[in-house]
Amino acid sequence: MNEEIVSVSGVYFSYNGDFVLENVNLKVKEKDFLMIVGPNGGGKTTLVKMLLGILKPAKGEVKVFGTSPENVLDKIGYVPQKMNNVNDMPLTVLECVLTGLKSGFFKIRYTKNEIKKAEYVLSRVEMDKFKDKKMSELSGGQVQRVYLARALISSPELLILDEPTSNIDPYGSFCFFTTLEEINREKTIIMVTHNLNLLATKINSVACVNKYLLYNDKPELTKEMMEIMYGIHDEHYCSMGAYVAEEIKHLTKCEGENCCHYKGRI
Amino acid sequence: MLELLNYDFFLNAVYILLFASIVCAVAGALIVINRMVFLAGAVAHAAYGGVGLAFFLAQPVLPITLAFSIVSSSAIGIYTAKKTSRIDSVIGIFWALGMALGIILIDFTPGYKADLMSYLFGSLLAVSSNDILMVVVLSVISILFLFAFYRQLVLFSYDREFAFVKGVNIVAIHTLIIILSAVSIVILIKIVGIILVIAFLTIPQYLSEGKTNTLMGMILLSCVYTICFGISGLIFSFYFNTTSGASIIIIAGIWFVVEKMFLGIKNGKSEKIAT
Ligand SMILES: Nc1ncnc2c1ncn2[C@@H]1O[C@H](COP(=O)(O)OP(=O)(O)OP(=O)(O)O)[C@@H](O)[C@H]1O
Ligand SMILES: [Mg+2]
Repeated sequence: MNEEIVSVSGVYFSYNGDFVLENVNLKVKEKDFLMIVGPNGGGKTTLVKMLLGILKPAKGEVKVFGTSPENVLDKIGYVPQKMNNVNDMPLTVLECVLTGLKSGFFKIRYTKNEIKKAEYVLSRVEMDKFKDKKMSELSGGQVQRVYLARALISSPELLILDEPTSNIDPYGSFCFFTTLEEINREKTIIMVTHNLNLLATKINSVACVNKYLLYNDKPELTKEMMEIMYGIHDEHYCSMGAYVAEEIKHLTKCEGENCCHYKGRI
Repeated sequence: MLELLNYDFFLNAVYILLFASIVCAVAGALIVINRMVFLAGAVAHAAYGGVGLAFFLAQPVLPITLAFSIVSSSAIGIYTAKKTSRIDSVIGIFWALGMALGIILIDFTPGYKADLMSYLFGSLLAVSSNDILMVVVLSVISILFLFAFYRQLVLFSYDREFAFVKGVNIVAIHTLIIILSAVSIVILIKIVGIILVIAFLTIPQYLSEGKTNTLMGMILLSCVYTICFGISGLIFSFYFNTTSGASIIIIAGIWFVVEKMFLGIKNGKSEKIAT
């Protein structure tokens, strides 16, 4: 128990020139449910891609299950954020989910067992009715549900989700998170999200990413996190910030009046 | 019409069409769903460098062009596999460079180059048994490729990043698809010629894409389309004494327009405006 699943130490990353992430440290333990928050462009997706070995750190070390990510991809389920890579090729929902299995060679037909598995995970995200539909005919939220099923089908030990509910309706995301909570009983979950309402429930730790990473092992945003995320506690005030402040105030028990100034990406 | 079957050159053309349609259906489907049409265009025109080389060395054209195209398309494939921005400019450079190389090499080649035109416009009615043998071998290879990597190909085509996370070798699959395109293009040079290659790799595939739910279905259907277009084009060219390659493409093009108009009315589909 409490084995270390993810360990990121002293990581720097830049796409071309400026560092997008600086001196990032993070540990995720078995059966954690970590929520990653931060402003747009803060570096959340970049961090997630490093956990998957898609991107390599310029400096520092990323270890997943004690080794580099490429060696343990079998144990990781991934739900990507990007929706614009969606291809309108002929592909049914069922086959899309089946691509989450190990590919292998000289395998064209899927076995009964594989199809059963796919139908089961589809029913978990309430998409079993759509299994014969084409992927290109689904709505954005339906696609995200299918992607969760695609990640679940390989029974991963670690589930990494990048804004999985950005297109899912409020009731739908409530159900989605309930499903994740169930899954969390057996699996470790790392989820990027902008849905701060979750702080109250399901998750057990928070990381806030905006070039730097701040970590809290309780499901609460600290004052420092508010500072690097939204610049709250500035003297300045802006209407954009006011809305964010209202949303966040009761979650963080922020006392200050008119204390918000939206700073965005560092 | 049956009397056509008495002519050897006609039968040879039919044989080569049947096997070529397999290679083209596989390569074309992968080109279309991976949005590599422009890339395939570059490979096709770069192949002219191979034709030039064969003339220059006074060697048989198809084998030399095949070798040249496999080498150049591997380079294009490896170079373009990971890059995403401005990739079209780079492809455009390959496109022109191969073509220019071919022209220069032919300039350096002494003598009369009568059959050069046949590589630009195809020469389906002058097929040798060696040509047929080559196409049969290549069609077997492309079937093996499709069967071996089917799941990887589906995954790669739909979502490359996810394919990477599932352990698929992205650079290898990308490069293999481009090499397969190069192979199909060299075969098509014989059938429709360099200039018209792209239509043959895209019209049947485009027509099939909407009618099926799987990649395999799309490949099988485009194979059928390719054979139908090929044989009717061949018959047309025989009776009207027209260039066979262009006749095939014209028939494919006319059918494309007819089908699009007919289907559009039948389904009462709303037109999508922009994007
Ligand atoms: N492929 C890329 N090339 C260059 N810069 C990039 C690339 N992808 C992201 N960036 C930059 O890196 C920074 C971090 O991007 P990232 O996608 O990690 O942000 P994010 O926190 O996931 O944002 P969001 O909430 O919008 O998803 C941004 O400033 C972005 O401009
Ligand atoms: Mg992101």
